[in-house]
This record gives sequence, structure tokens and C-alpha cells, in this order.
Amino acid sequence: MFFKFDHKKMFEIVKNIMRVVPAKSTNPVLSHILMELEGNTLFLKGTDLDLYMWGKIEVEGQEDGSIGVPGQRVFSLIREFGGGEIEFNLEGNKVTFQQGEGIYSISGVEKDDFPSFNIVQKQINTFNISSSLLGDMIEKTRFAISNDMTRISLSALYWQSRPDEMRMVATDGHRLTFYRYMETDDTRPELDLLLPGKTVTHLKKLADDYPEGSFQITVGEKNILFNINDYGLSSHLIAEKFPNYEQVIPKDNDKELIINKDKLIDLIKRVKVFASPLTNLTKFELSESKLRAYSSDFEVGTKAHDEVDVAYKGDELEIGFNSNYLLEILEHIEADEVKLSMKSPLSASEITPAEQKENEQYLSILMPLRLPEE
Amino acid sequence: MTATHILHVDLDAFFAAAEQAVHPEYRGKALIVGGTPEVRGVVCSSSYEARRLGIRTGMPLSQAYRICPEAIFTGGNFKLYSYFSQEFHKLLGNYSPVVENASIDEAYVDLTGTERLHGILLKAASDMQSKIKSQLCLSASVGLATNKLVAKIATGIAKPYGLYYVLPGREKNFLAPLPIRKLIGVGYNTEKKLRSFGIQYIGELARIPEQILSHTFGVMGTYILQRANGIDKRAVENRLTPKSLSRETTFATDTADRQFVRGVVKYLAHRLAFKLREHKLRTQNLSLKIRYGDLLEEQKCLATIPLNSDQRIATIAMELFDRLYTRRVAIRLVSVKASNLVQDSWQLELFEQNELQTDPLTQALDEIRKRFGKKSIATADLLYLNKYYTSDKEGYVLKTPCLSR
Repeated sequence: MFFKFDHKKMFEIVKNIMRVVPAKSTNPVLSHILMELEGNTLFLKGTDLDLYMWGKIEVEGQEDGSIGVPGQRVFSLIREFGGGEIEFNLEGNKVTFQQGEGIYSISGVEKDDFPSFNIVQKQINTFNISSSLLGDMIEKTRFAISNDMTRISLSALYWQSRPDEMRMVATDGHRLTFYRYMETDDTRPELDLLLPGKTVTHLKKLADDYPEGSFQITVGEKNILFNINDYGLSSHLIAEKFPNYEQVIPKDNDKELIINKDKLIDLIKRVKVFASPLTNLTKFELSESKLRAYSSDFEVGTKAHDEVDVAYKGDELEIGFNSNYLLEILEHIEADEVKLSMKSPLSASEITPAEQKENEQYLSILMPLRLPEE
Repeated sequence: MTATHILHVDLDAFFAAAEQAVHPEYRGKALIVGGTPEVRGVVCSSSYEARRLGIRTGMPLSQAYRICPEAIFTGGNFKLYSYFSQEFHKLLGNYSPVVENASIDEAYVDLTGTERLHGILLKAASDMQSKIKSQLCLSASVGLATNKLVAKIATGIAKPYGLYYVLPGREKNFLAPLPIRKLIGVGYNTEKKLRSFGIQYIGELARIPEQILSHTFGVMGTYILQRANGIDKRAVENRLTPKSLSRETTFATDTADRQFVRGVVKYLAHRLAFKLREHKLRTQNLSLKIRYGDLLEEQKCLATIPLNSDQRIATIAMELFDRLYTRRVAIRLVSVKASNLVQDSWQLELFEQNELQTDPLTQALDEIRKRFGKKSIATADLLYLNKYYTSDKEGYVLKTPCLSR
């Protein structure tokens, strides 16, 4: 196996593959990147057994072959090489990188030691989706994914695809994010998928790298494969049942607050400084024209009260929220004005942009914190 | 800045004194708390009358019986001590808003800035001491100083039923003639090391250049030197929520019976989870400690999502035990500890029946236990412990019960 490669292109691809290569693993082969040369195309592959990622670049190939090289070492070496052309040579299992007078040798592992990268076995469907749309849907919903590994179905992003619309939903049991994209595309299949949280993170990175591109998606029985430009990412799907989220989207919230988003964010950020770090409780008091926010921490004796003028429709209400949750929801809304609709201090509140964009529906549901008895 | 005034109060021979308070017939007699001499166990506490005869805490009961056969031997009654402890801490609250409950029988009271209320602080301290005597029938020793370290050491000197005041500015002179192990932060190993330098007294330690100590002990070296000079900047903390909760027991005889110890770990975990729920807290870090017969201690901990259920905590505790118990040495003590506590979530849930809510089963069990006692209901596998322990309404009567909360 022998080829010459361009430093810049190689650095880019190795950096991307290293995202999935685990720093520590019980199986030493996983800390390697598999290199396969076919003609002038070099494939690089890495996996942590949850995610499989590969990419390809054009090189000047002379002799086909394959070898696994230690990921971290080779990544560091390529980073430290100056620009220009570098030679790669494999003899036996000894890999040599050569640039000018510099010769760097390291031993590699055989291809057969790697797990198979062809994990999508029974193909069910293939379809395309634009990278910017997929990235946007993920960005708006993924922050509500639970990081509690004991609740598998909540540690995933729920993706519903229909010819006339797509939905993404995430929830950790305290809050829920829902994004619906309404545009008919008859090539889009009917699917319900649960993407693991980690897969979502890597998918988002790929979408950010190629905002102009388009994902070709292959869905298998238990796995899914995303292809974009020169990269492929594949992962298992979660085979659990996502909770019935439609049931918890409130239908009869009769109290409505419309407020400038930044004004509300500033208010919460100020008041939260004095809140108890154990609960992050901020209490809101709503009346016809005022929104009052309160926080306190008995342990250290802080107490805060602040208020802003608002337009509020409904009976007076006292309600408590985890200010971190509320902030995170607000910061993901792309609108100047936001709408909070509520019913009671014990039932779910709904937070949306005051006006939805064309073709989309974006909402977040947040359960309140029970207010302490005074 | 005005000088700080910190008072340290410690109840004398607490368990024995509490027994004497409720049993007038024990008063003025040699009393040993820990168990009857027939059972294997150690002295947990003894009255001063017994101490005068040579009884020491930690001594095997059989040896105590040989020294002093006429002494009264009694098992512990933790509920009683806990009641006295609560009343004691409540009483201290009358003197200052800042009271730190350091343990069941001692506390720090920050009297800084209360001079206008109390007048001469020494008088307030003596008043507190006599109130404890008259209202609780307990004798307390009191140390008054400008910081926690000196106040605590002063209490030690004042025992029993004394009062010791270290005048501001005299801390260093006060500590100088005392042996180094009296200093907080100087344990067995540090003492050994310091002794190898030829240092025996705090005064000698205070003269060692800081560099030498920090080379030898790292950051701790600086602390040790500060303390040797009577400087201690720790504040009296009145925490509303405890920093950690733990349950532990010492076995009557060291044991290598894995199944039995596992059972005890599970039982302790259940007791701990119950306590967490009582305090409306959840733990995010669970640790298990084993002390072996040869006094070697090992500990392992695990970070978790906030938990308070019997079942989850017991599973983790037993898992930790399995991983930790690898030596072929009998075990003397096990302890289960919950730290990094957070308030039981007031966060309401979107979906019912999930992990983070106290589940209905646990709730029902708690109701039953509150009404009929902790022993009234338990998982069947814990019945295995019946072979080893007798039980009362409060649960199994663990050996050396006053050490086993």
C-alpha cells in the first residue's frame, strides 16, 4: 500500500473521523483509524461500536491495500506536519509517513481485526433531506433530550417522517420540545425513528460542516445510515417506544402572556443569580400589566424581586419554573416576541414564538416547579 | 473587623449521661453503654464513675466486665439519644442564629456580635451550661475562643463539666504545650511523620518554616502550620440540609460471610433511603466503606442521577460492596453514605409513573413503616438477617447499637 496525499485534505478528514474514535476502550483496535486504498480513493473509518463514521479523499495512489493506524498518534502527527505533500507507505504492518527528510514509522493493525462497517443490513427505505433543514430541526429540539441513561427512550430524539410533514420531538420528562415542518414531499417515506442522543450530536456536526449539502438517508431495520458529500455516519436505532407526547401538549391553557424575548431572558438571568442552586426556582407572578419574578435561597439568605411591564390575558397567576429550563427554551426561539400560555401552577405551560414561521410549528412544553408553602 | 467569638459545646459521656437522665437509679454509678457482657461487643460510652475505674470507650465488654463486674451494663437506645440531641441543639438556638451541629453531642455556636444581647460572653456560656444541666439533666463542657479549632480543643481541656475561655490573642500560647495530635488535621500518619522530625508539641510545630511543611505535606502543610499558630478561618455553618447522610454498623465479631454482610448492606441502604425521603432529599453520590478486621479501610463511590428509592440505592450499595470486597480478610464495619444531596425535586413531571417520582410502592411502604415501625415490612431476602439479629419495632437491633444509627 503506497500513496501520496495532500496535508490539508488529510488533516480535515482525520479530524472528523477522530470525533467518534474513543480515547479509551476495552478493545484496543477501536482506538485505530482504518485506512483503505482503492485506486486513487482513500477511505478512512472509525468506530466506537455505537457510531460508525467514514470518509473518503482523493490521493495519488500507487498500490491498493488496507491497514489500521493508531488514531490519536497519527492525528497529532498530521497536525504537526507542515502543508504540502506527504508519502504513506506500508510494509508488512509497518506504516511510514515521509515528508522531505522526515520519516515517521508506526505499526498498524490488520483490517480483519476491525468490526464490520456495513451495519445497515435490511434496508427499508432511502430518502433525501437538505442538510440545513435537518440541522435546524435538530438544533431546535435536541436540548430537551434526557441524559439519564436509565431512561433509554428519553435519551433519544424522536423523528417522525410523513409525506406531508416531518416532526422532531425530545423530552426529559420535565420539558418537551416539538418541531413540525409542513411541506409536502411525496418521496419522503412514512417513518418513526428514535435516534440516540450521541448520534444526534454527530449528525448535527456533519450538518454544520455541509450546510449547503443534502443527506442521503438509508434506514435499516435496526440501524440508520447518513451520507453527505464524502462522509458516512451510521448508528443503531433505539427500539423502545417513545412516550405519547401528543397527550401532554396542553389544549386548554387559558392564560396568555406575550413578551419581548430578550426582555424576559434578561429578567430571568438577573433574578436567577439569587435563586437556590438546588432548585433554580424562580417564581412568577402575573397580573394584568405586570410580570413579577422572585427568587430566594434560605441557605445563604438571598432574596430577589424584579418586574417588567407586559401584556397578559387571564386571571392572576403564581407559577414557579426551573429558570435554567426556561432560559434554554427561550434562547432557542428565533423571534422577537414569545408567547407563554399557562393554565395553573401545577399544569404544563407552553412556550412558542408569538408568531409561527410559515410552514413550521415550534413549541416547548415545560412543567412548573411546585411552589414551596409559605 | 471585630474579633469573632466561637463557642464549642460538647456533652459529657453523652450516651451514659442520657441513660442516667431517664434512669435515676443509674445515677452516681458506674454505667457502661454498649451491651451486656455476655454478648461480644465494645463499650460505646461509659459514665465518669466507670471511667474512673479504668473503663475506656472501644474496650471489649468482656474486658470491661473483668475490670468492673459491679458496673451496670446496658444496650444503647438510639432514639433516646436522638431526642436528647435534638433538644440540646434546639436550646443552643436560643443563643445565636448560627449554630453548627457538628455531631450528635457537640455543636459550634457563633456568638460574634451578640455581646449587646448577652453582655459578657463568658457569662452567657456559663448560663448555657447550667440551662443544659437544669433542663436536660446533661452535663456539658464548653470552650470559648476566637475560632473553631481553639474552641474545640479548649472544650477537651474543660471536660468534664468545665468551661474554658481562651482570650483573644492567646491562642498560640494556649496551644503550644499541647501534643500535636490534638490538632485537627493531624492524624495517625501525619503525627508519625512529624514525630520523625522530632516534633511532639504544637509549639514546636508552629516554629517550623512553612516551606518545609508544604514540601512534606503539600497544601495540608500550610493548613497544619496555620492551625499550630491558632489560626482557623472556617466559619460556623448552620446548614439547613445535611451535607451527607450515612448508616453504618460494626459487627459483633468480624465476619467473612459475604451473604450476611450483603444483607446488612442492603438493610443499611434501606434505612438510609428512608432517611433521605424523610429529609426530602435525594443523593447523587453513594459510597460504601468497609473496615477490615486488621483496621484497613477501603471505600468506593458512584455518581448517580438523584435517587431516593430503597431499591435503587440498595442495588448500587450492594454492587459497590461486591466490587470492593476482594480481600480475604474478615470485615469489621460497613457503612453506606449518601452525599452530594439535592432537594427532592419539586419539579412536576410530564409523564406519570417515572423513575424520578417517589414511586407508589415506596410511598406505601413508608406509610406502613411510619405507622407500624420500620421492621413491620421488608423485602423477603432481608429475613435472612433474622438468624443474626433480634429485632424490635425500629428494626434490627444491630450489635453495638449506639454506634449503629
